[in-house]
Amino acid sequence: MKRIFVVLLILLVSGILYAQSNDNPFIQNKFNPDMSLIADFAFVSSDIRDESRERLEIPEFMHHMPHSHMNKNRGITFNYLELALSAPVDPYFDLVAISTYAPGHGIEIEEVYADTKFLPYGFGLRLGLFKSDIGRQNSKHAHIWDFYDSPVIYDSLLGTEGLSGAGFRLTYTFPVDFLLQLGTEVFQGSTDEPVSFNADGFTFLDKTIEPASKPALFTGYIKTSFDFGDHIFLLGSSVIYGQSNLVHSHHHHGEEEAEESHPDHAVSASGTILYGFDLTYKYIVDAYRYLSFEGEYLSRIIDGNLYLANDNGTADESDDVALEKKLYKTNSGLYVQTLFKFDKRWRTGIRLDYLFEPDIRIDEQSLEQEDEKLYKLSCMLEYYFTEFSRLRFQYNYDHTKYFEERMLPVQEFILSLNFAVGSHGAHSF
Amino acid sequence: MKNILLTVLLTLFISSVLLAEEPIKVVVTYPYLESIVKEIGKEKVDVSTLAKGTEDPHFVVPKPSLIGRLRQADILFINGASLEIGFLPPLLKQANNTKINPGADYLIDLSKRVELIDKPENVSRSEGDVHPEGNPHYYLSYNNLPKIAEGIRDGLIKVRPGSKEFFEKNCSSFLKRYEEKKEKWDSLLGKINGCKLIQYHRLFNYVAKDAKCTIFAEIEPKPGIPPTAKHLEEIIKKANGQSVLKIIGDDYHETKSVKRLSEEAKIPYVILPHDVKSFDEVKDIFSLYDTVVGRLSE
Repeated sequence: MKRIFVVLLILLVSGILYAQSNDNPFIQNKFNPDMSLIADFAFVSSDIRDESRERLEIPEFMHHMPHSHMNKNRGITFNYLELALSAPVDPYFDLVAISTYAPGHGIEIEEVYADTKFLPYGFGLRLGLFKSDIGRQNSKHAHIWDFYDSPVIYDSLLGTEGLSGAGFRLTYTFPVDFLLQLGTEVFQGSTDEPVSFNADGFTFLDKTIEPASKPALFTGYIKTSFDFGDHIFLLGSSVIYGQSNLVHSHHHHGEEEAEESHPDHAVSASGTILYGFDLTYKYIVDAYRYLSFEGEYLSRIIDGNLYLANDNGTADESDDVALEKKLYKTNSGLYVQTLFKFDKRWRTGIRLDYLFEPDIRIDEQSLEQEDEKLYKLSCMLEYYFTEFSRLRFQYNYDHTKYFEERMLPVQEFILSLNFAVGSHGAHSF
Repeated sequence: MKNILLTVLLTLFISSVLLAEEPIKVVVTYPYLESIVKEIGKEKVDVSTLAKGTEDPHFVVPKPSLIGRLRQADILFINGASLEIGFLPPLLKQANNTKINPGADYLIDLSKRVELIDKPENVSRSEGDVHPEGNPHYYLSYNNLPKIAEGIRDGLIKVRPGSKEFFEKNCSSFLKRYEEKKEKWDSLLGKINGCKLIQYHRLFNYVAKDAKCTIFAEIEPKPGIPPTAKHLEEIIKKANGQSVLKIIGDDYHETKSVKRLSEEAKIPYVILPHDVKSFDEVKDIFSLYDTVVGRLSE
């Protein structure tokens, strides 16, 4: 995979160089897409061994560590290289393609979409593979995150990279002097690494669940923003509705081959709802300084069936049958953060993640919960050489993770470096 | 009954008249453009401005509320030369306004009307925040004002051809007042003809050109890069015995380095506005030039 990427890059660069050479009468370089490359590196120090980290979980929230480009293995790591290309297709569409190469993940197409430019009355349409615009954090790519890692509630309910997929989005912006925008998205709803939503079927022991009819994932959101002088407010409210066909595996502890995971239980629910609220407040002090507050709350309700392995007494696990139970489960959590940009080159911030005690009922019987409060505290300090290069130092105290069924607080020190070259990216709000 | 009918008809009539006369919704990126648009459009325009006069024009906060204003715009005037590159494109994308999308008829880039200077031969970010099109702060030279005003006039006429004469009349009376002012500004700049200047950022290159002055040094080692003590020392050494007239600071950069340099190199400093509404006294485009030229030639 790595080789393909290098070859592609060489082809692209040589193509541009050829196009720029003067003796080519068919010069097309003015049509080359805007291109930017983003590279991310980190140094991580942590009080947990890499092998143990892989096996951390948050009971009833996160069954295994999420898929992420932001490496947390100890030592020096190269996280990812992102290549973003964009250009107008014609007077009617713009095309954007964002792909990432990350060690261990290969090349991934994160987004490829076309935006319409011709719809009247403030309507907009996006078609392709893209990140959902629900919530505040979801649509952001890792390099514009305010912290090194994504909020725990995102890791738990939507995945580190957030909700994305193949589909389309329709937005409408109201003709008013502030921002009032409605959006709705339709996604295929099947994914390789489902967190909350998956429309594909599965087989768990002797039980087979048929795939749902697709597209199977729907979202809706409303955003509004207004300001009073230097005080800016942005509020959003979102909802996701879809199918949850999820098989959860548990790892056999102590075995050499960690790959040999074993299906532990499965969930099938047809009307899973995930909703959220977000609020951002920003106070502009002067040309280079600001103070901001951001908070986002997410909640997911699964109402369907739970399948457990019913051990029939024999040693042979292939004889197990699925035991069907009614499942009702609510998971909620939030993050709040404050950022202070106190100089043209410096920014600092603190974030608190908090997970609420889940409400779980199996066959209408409430499940006893652990007493531990689940929270994570992060602080960071950033230095911007320019807007194109950033050094960030972050400390995490993570009191959400369990190791072998016991709470294991994790501390991390992370030093990360991010570079952006090529066409000028946008400053995010 | 008759009365009610009459009232309804009258209301409809009045509102239709009002609708016909509804002002053009103009959005501009910077306050100096707002000032000129108001001079030419008068009561026939309703202007919204994206940036504040106290902001760094390269780093305008992309407030989401601006999307709502862009959504309703009939026309958008921009400074151009990549000055808005960091904040405008995503706002435009969100606004989905077919009239002012990049490439559409009513997105007017005024930098296309003027001749830009300092166009770099090679573009590389190792030279700092350089603009491939040339220096984008052309509006700080009053000599470029007629071209900007004409661009705005033509844009407004394109939106409302019926008011062509109105806009033309306002534009020519504006430019007449400008001609009177220009004489005064010319003579003031004449006083400092041929001088050497130090500036913080490459903001006043066009003004220096008007005054036939040379920019001796910049406090920023490279555009957009904050100064270092070493760089300031180099300037002091270089300026020794060179009779530099003034050090120019501006309203949005820090002034500490300006004052320090002024003290150590024994060169007087002056703080100039970079845009309308940057200081309280800079109310419109004329007072912008009054202040820039006045303070520089003091």
